[in-house]
Parts: sequence; structure tokens; C-alpha cells
Amino acid sequence: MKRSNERILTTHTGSLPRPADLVEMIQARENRETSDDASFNLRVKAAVAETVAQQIEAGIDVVSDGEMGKPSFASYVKNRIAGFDSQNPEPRIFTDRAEFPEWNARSSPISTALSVRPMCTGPLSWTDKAAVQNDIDNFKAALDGADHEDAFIPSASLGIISEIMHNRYYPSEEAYLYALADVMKEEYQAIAQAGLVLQIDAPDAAMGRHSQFGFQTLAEFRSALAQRIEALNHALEGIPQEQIRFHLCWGNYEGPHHHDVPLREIVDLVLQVNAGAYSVEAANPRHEHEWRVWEQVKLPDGKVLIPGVIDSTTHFVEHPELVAQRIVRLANLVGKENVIAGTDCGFSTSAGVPRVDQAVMWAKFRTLAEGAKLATRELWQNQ
Amino acid sequence: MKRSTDRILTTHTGSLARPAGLLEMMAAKEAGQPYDRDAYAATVRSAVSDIVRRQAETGVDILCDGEQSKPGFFTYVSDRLTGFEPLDAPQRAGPWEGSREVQSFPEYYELYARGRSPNVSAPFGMVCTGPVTYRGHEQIKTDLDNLKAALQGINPEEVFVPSSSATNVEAQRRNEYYPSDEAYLHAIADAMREEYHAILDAGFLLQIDDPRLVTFYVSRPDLTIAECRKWAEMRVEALNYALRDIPPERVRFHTCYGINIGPRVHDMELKDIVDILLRINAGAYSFEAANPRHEHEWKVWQTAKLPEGKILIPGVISHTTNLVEHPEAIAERLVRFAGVVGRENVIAGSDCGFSSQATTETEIHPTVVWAKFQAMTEGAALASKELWG
Repeated sequence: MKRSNERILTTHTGSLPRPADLVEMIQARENRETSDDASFNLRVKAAVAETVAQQIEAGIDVVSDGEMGKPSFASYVKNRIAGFDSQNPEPRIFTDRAEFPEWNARSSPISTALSVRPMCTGPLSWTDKAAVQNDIDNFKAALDGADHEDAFIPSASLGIISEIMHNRYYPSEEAYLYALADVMKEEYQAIAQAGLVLQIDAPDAAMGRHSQFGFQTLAEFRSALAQRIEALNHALEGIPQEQIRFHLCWGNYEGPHHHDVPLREIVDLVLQVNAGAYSVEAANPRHEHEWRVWEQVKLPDGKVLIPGVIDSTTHFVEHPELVAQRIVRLANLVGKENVIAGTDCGFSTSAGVPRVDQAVMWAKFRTLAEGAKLATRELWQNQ
Repeated sequence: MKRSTDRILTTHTGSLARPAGLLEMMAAKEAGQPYDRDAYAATVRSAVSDIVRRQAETGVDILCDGEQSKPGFFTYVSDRLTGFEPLDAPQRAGPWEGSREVQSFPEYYELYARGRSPNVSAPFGMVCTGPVTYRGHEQIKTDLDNLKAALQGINPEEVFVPSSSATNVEAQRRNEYYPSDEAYLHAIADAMREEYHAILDAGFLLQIDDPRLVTFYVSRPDLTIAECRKWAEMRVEALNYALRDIPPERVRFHTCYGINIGPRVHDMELKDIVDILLRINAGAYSFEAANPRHEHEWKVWQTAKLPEGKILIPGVISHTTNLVEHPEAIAERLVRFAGVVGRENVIAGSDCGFSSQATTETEIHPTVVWAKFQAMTEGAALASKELWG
């Protein structure tokens, strides 16, 4: 994993808007109206090439495949692994949203990524191992000759899979998590073995407090999170830490978020994840102040922080000077070489449900790059 | 004007959501349809009473009537001023039509326009065809009486009433009567001055609402910063003319970038207007500082010196996101400002109003707004603890 050795590098969370015709193809496949893999894969390949070029043009150093072929950042797993079936009928209650029912009723739904919820009803096993290889091949083809610093592919955490797709088969949550670990590790390893950075997407590590454990105690949530992280570390065994980044977030929606668990109450567990970098929301008004957590908590040697300096829930294009302020204050705490500028969350965690208008999103990416330049000038000027 | 002498005081910009029952009656009234005048008056009175009590309960120190009686923060002057006739057709398709922003992000603004519900008052344009005079004595008296009645048994630190600047009155009213822009502005200023005095005579603080001071630049792609500054200088001169002989410590001035949740890459920057802003004869300045386009601008005050005795009311909560700002984020914002200009010169505020127009779909759902106010109160308390120990 490249670090900010000579300048502040830029990255983002992974998912990006898919072209409209690709969204239709993904939808048709989700509805099982078609299974034409060859033409689908050709279309995905072209979309990945285009999104990589756009990221580089916007000034992103550490690029992703935009998750072009996936219906969403987590539910794609059900298309690759056998053992999931039907739809969980129980409602999911986000405690912050539930507290404002009138607003909740008129606001747009959180995302399809979080509402497509089959359950685990049988033993887990791979049915489509070629899918991750396609992701890798498409991405590598796009990266060939592209002027980038580093490249990553996101993959779902065990915790978010178990939060969205409940266990109805294994004797315990622990048994389910380890069964997930046994299958998902093959995807994790495939990405790492291809020489790419693996990003584990884990909204469960923070959002889970109010989306799944909202009516339980903090201790109960922490205990579940500790178990998930233990299983995740098991799944990550053998992959060098410096090839892994861990993304946590509180849910990518423009809602009240006033029940978000504070970072300081989970940071000790998060740092247990055997990753070389931690990507965490730090741009939105519910978490922007948490850079100060790193005054008390020491970032372990050799680790990298990827703070969100761009908010994925607003159409405001952050002022580059604000981006620079956010980077510099964190760099002063943990060391400039340990900071990579990122985004709070993905810009299309579900295909076809972009959070932000595309033209505006690219303007936000450009301001991210511009802010990183300003921060670089400030941080390296005396050398 | 009270200042933050032993703790950080809290306030906001003024407009708050109107209750549904009032909106229905107001829509009929604005559309020129028959409505029950007594019932309307009683509904406004009770809305003001409710909103004042709720602000006090939430811990807002310097509160107002939430502009419950007004269809919009500047459209309301229509039935309070003489000299205007309606244009046959509305002047513009939308508030940002033709602006730098729409030129840069046409798809976004098209999408945004589709999603907006109509305000109680329809888009309009007017033209000035005769002498501008104030005829809103009865309306402002009702506003002030309602507010006084609502304050019975409630002891806020202070109370303010927003009123429009001449600059904003001028915005959608083309001059075809006065010989020059200056004469026109001064005539509006003289008329609005009657409202300003009524507010002050009632013992309230006067807040001048003047978003146009900073939004003019974005709305005029054909003009440079220098040209817009020249434009602004004449408007500030007219405002000071309207405020002549009014003690600055009775006046707060609010400017902002309007109701625009868009990219806003073309917002005029504070550093380009701050010197002109400070020429306004007001005791306090309220401006946006809580959104990602302006949050960094606290640093401007490291070089632009705030004159002795003046107060800053930075926005620490935003009208453009449903996220409830974390009290610690709010405290951090306040402490930063206090560090630069002195704690006694900072009052916690909001970026803009939360229902600048009377509409069923306010910028932010009112239930979320109260949660934001609660967060602001908590954030101000945290900041006070840090600043006063």
C-alpha cells in the first residue's frame, strides 16, 4: 500500500455511479430476466475502464473499479455464494430515523443495498468464483497504462453480510461468521494475490450500533463487533496487512444520525482489525469533530488513516481550503505520511441509486485533489 | 444587545416552519381567494405563541417569532409597500436561473427544480411605477403584538425581529420610476425604515435580512468580483442611510447564500466582501459558517479585524443537511471563532432560516430542526465550559 511519503495521496470509498444502460442490465440480472454473462461482462469491462480514467483525470491517486458490476456493495455476495434464500420479512429499524417518523416517511429510502435481504438457509459455498476473477481482470485491464499510485477492490465484511443476511441455518452467530469467513476468504485472497489492495467494507462496525443493535446496550454491540472482527481476522490470515484497508461508516444517508455511536467507543476494537489502513467518516457534521479522538488514541506504528474529507451525502462541493484544514489537523496528530485523503462513503453504494449528481460528484473529487495539494504545500513547505 | 459575557449565547436566523393549518389559510390569502380573517389572525397568533415557547424550551437564548405571519422573508413586503405593479409574466423560472451555478451544473439544478414543492406565494415579478412608501403599519403592529403576547411568562435573553433590506426589496422589482438606482434604493430604504423603527420602538432587536449582498455575484456571471463589490458598496451605503441615527447595538445583520443545497462552487468568498460587510452600521453580523463551502472561513477573521464592540454570529448548524450536527462539532466551531475574535464576541447561530418561504416542504423537516437546535444548545454549553472553565 502506498503512503503519503512526499505528498498527501487521495482516494475514495469505492462505489461509483454506473452508466444508465449498465444499471438496467444489473437490474435485469437481479430480477433473473437474463443470464447473458458474456455481453454483461463486456459492458462492465468498458464501464470499469471509463471510471478508472475518470478517477485519474479528477486527481484520485488510489483508484477502485467503482464496483461497476455489483448490484450493491454487500448484496452482490448472494449472487456468488449458495446458501441464501427468500427475503427477511422483519423490518429493519434505524433508531435515528425512527425517532423522526414524519421526516422518515418523506425522505428517500436508505438504499436498496440494505433492503435486499435474503437469509442464510443452507450451507454456504461458492457458486460463482469466476465473478471475483472477472472483477480483477476487468480492473487490471483498465489499470494497464493508467497513471495511478495504487488500486483497490472493495469486498463485503463478514459483519455486514451477517447484519443484512441473517443466519437461519448455522447453530450460532459465531458458527455463521466462521462459515462466512471460510468462503469470503477466497475472495479476499484472490484480490490480494492479484497484487491489489483489498478494502473490507464494514458499515456494521459503526452503523450496526443503530441499525441492528439500536435496542441493545453498547456492551452487547461491542461484544458482537469483537466477535465479527475476530472472525474477519481469521478470514484475512495470510494476507499482508499492508495490502488491506478497512472501511467503517455510520450509514450513507442524509438523516439525523444523532444515535451514531461515537468513534471513541469503538476505536479500540476497530484497531484490532489486521489492516494497514482505516477509512473512517470525518467530513459530515456528525463525525467531523472526531479527528480529536486521535489526540487520545495512538494510531499504531505503520498504520494509515483514511479520513473522509468529502461528504457523500451532500451536493455541496467542499471548499478546497476546508479539505486542506481537515487533512492538516489530522496530519499534525498522526503524521502526514500516515494520512490519505478519502471520502466519507461510496457515491453509489447501490447501482442506480447515486447519492450525488455525477457532474457534482466529479467536482467534489476534484476539490478533494485540490485540497490535498493545498495540505501538501502546508505540510511539506518547511523541508 | 446582549453578548456572551459569561457563556456562549445561542440564536438562529429567524424563519421557522409554519403549521399546516396556517399554511392552508395563507395559501388562500396569497392566491386572493376568500378566507376567514379572524380565524387567520387567531391561527397566526397561536403559531407565534407555540414557536416562541418551543424556542425557549429548547434553550434558544435570543429568539424571534419564526416569521410565522410571512409568506416569505422578503416577499412579505409586497402588501407593506406602495409603488409597485405586478409584471404580466413572472420574471424568472427559478431563483438560480442564469446564474454561474446553473451554467456549471445544469443537470443538477434541473433535478433539484423538479423536486421542489411550490411555496405559498407564487413566483412573481414587480415593477416600480410610483413613489415607494410604507403602508404596512397595521401588519407590523400585529406581528409585534403577537410576539409580545407570546413572550408572556417567557424570559429569553433577548428577542429579535427580522426585516428585509432595501437591496432584497429591489431584487425582483425593476425600477421604472426613479431617476437612478441610488434614488430608488434610498426611497425603499426610507419606506422600510418605518418598519425598522416600529421594531425598535417595541423594544426588540432589529435583524436586517440581506442574502443578496453575497448572492449577487453568483447570479450575475457577466460581472467580476470588483464590479460586484462596487455594486455592494452602494447597497451598504443605502442600508446605512436606512439605519442612520439607529444605534448599531440594536441591529444585527444577516447575510447568506440563499436556499441552495447545490455545489455552490461560485459562492462569493467572505474574504472578498468582509471589508464591505464590516462597514454596515450593525452591532452583530450573522453569516454562514457551518456548511462545507464556508466552514473554513473562520480563518478570515485572523486577518480581517473585527471592530471593537462588534459581535459575530457564525452559523454552527446548517439548513442544508438533515444530519444533526454533533454538539462537539458545534463546540469546536464556536471555540475556533472565540479563539480568533474573543469569546464575548461570539453568539452561536444558524447558517440561514429553516423555512425562508412558507411551504409544506421546508428546507429541513421541522422535527429535525428542533433536534438541531437542541444540539446547538448543548454545543454552546460545551464551548462555554471550555472557554470559561
